[in-house]
Amino acid sequence: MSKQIVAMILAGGKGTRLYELTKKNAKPAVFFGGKYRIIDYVMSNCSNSNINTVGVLTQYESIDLAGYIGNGEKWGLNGVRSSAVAIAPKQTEEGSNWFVGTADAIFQNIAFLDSQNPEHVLILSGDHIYEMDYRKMLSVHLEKKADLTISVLNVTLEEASRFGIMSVDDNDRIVEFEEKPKKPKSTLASMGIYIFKYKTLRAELLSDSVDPNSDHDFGKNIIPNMLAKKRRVFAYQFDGYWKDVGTIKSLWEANMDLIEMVDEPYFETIRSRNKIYGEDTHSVPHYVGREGHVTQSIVNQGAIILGTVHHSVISNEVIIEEDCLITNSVIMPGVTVKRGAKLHNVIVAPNITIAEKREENLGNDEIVLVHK
Amino acid sequence: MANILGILNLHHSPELGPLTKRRSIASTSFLGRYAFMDFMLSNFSNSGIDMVATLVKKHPRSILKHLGSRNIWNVNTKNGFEVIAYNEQGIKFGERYNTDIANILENKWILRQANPDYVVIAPTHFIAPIDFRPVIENHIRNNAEITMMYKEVDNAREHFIDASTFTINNDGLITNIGQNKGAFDRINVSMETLIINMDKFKELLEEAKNLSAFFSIYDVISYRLGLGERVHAYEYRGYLRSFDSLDHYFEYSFELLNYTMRKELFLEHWPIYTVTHDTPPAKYDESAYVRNSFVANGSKIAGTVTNSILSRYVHVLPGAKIDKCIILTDCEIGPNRELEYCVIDKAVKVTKIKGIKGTVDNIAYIKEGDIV
Repeated sequence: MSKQIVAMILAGGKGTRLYELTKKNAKPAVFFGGKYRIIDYVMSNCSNSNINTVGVLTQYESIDLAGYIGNGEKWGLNGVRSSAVAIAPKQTEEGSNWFVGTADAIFQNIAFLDSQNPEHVLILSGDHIYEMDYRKMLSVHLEKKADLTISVLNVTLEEASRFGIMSVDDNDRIVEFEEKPKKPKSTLASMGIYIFKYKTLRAELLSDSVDPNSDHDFGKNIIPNMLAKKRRVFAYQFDGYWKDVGTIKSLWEANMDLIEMVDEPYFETIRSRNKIYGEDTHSVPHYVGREGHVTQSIVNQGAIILGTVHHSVISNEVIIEEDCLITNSVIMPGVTVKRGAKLHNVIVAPNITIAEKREENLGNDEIVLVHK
Repeated sequence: MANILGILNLHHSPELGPLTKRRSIASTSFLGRYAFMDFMLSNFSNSGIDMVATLVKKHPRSILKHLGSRNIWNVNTKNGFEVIAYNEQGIKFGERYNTDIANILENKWILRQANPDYVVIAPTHFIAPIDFRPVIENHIRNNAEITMMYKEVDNAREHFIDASTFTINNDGLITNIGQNKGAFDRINVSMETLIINMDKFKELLEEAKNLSAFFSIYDVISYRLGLGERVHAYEYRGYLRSFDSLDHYFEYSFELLNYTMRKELFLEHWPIYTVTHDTPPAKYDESAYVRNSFVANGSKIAGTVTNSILSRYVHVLPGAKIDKCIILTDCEIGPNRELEYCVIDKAVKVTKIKGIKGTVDNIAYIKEGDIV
């Protein structure tokens, strides 16, 4: 049975700029928002977009991530004609290779895609925070009879040099593309979300694979090649919240943004199906004690708060003891903050115990990762 | 390794006043997140009892909604099973015929499929973390055919009223089963929980026909006890409460706001599993003031909540004051509304009435779906 579209999620990155958070964890497996892992966002997006076949390409610290993906049940991808598979680099007749580039990761899994035989392939990164219905992007892709559609976002001129920047014509067709330009010609940035016509993708990957000068990267090689060959490459304008959480600062910022998003139709969520799905721990609802005080914060179940928490994200199984003061911080699961400790502008890594009366980063604007 | 069948017997469930008008106590919300049946089902699961049948007497709608289509408690979903046993004897012939024995006989296939060596039968309204493994080991060591569990309590003048009481001889055998009418402080209260050999169980089911069509399992055992049947007693020590009235539901729920009590029910390595709904973490606004309360996920707090239990998706608007209340799922407490000593059922909107004040002896109740 052929499918219209399957998703391939690139989740192999190490995320070196998250330091201790990714020492033993792939970046997409890092905790976010008090309850989720970063990869829950793209997995949920696929599920909510009715894309029920998802391949997750793993590489760095792949075992835990593969265990987390499991059979896809967390995101509802374990039904009939649905599947979620974690795919690590493997040994075949041809030998064995790590993924050397984003395009190479897909190239090495052509056999998997062939077996799915989809008309289109959606390629995503596993470490971005955003909510998106990919069907809207797919319908633009179909309408334009595109070989490739790239989802784009307007960024500021200052940020533009960090992205793949493109120029489009009146029909949204991409006429120019530059990867991380020193002098950006526009502010239209690639989000690293691609929908390819599978036949085209397959041909491009094959021809790129035999080019010894190629980095086997979508942004650096595949997309410029396709533009040079005058393939039909279009842009899909996304306008919504999107964040790459690759640094301690951006991870913290995204968590803080979640606190601010109080205007969303919160009570639609109980009736709507478009939630972010993840792992639900079997915890008691969180408890705020007689001296506890919580304001402007997000608190997950299983937490026990006996001190003061302001403008922070408190994950499950976190204990904040009496006389503590937590401000502007992200406290990851399993952390115990002992009596009288004070934390400001920090991310505390999972399962750490903060000693009594310890003070961390008070009065500083810079974000600090506390990992011991 | 013995085959053990667990039976959750709902045929003797008490009423919790208006809370159980439309639902069984088994599926009634507890502590903002659980259903009462979760506790015994988790006890079975954690004790390695993977074949479980729930005998439903009435209100199948609410039980089906909770147990639904997902298998939460089984360890192995092929070798274990979790089934609902229901019968229509009551509807066809009158409520007296709707006994637990009639239900089991109507659903004999469960006994055939499980083919157990031992059967563990337990109710849902005695909340306790019970590890059945030592109880079963003890049963086998004693060469017992029937073992019944009890706890020695010292508050029987006001608690456990109408519960069965055991008189136990020096050999650990039950010599008499009575009923607690509040005459004494100290009694051996029956937990209505028994271990029985399959052969003996079949014998009792067979004999019931010749005794009375209206006899329950406990009636037959009481009868047999009178004829000299050896029924062993097993003393349970640990947290035990019988949720047998709305007042006690209120009282025992609030007891658990105390950390020490909580630690007695929620043991370190004894998780209580429940149906999960991927509910996002709770959000606290700038004006939130919460003290000594449980708050479930999905809730949004902008007002004052003290000494209360909030279930999922409870929206407390600015200026609202909630004290000593239990609020079920998906309620909205409007701006400046004041609630005291209330039990608010699901999906209620408190928007027009200025305040609802019950008393400790006369708890105010608002029924499901009402706007007040």
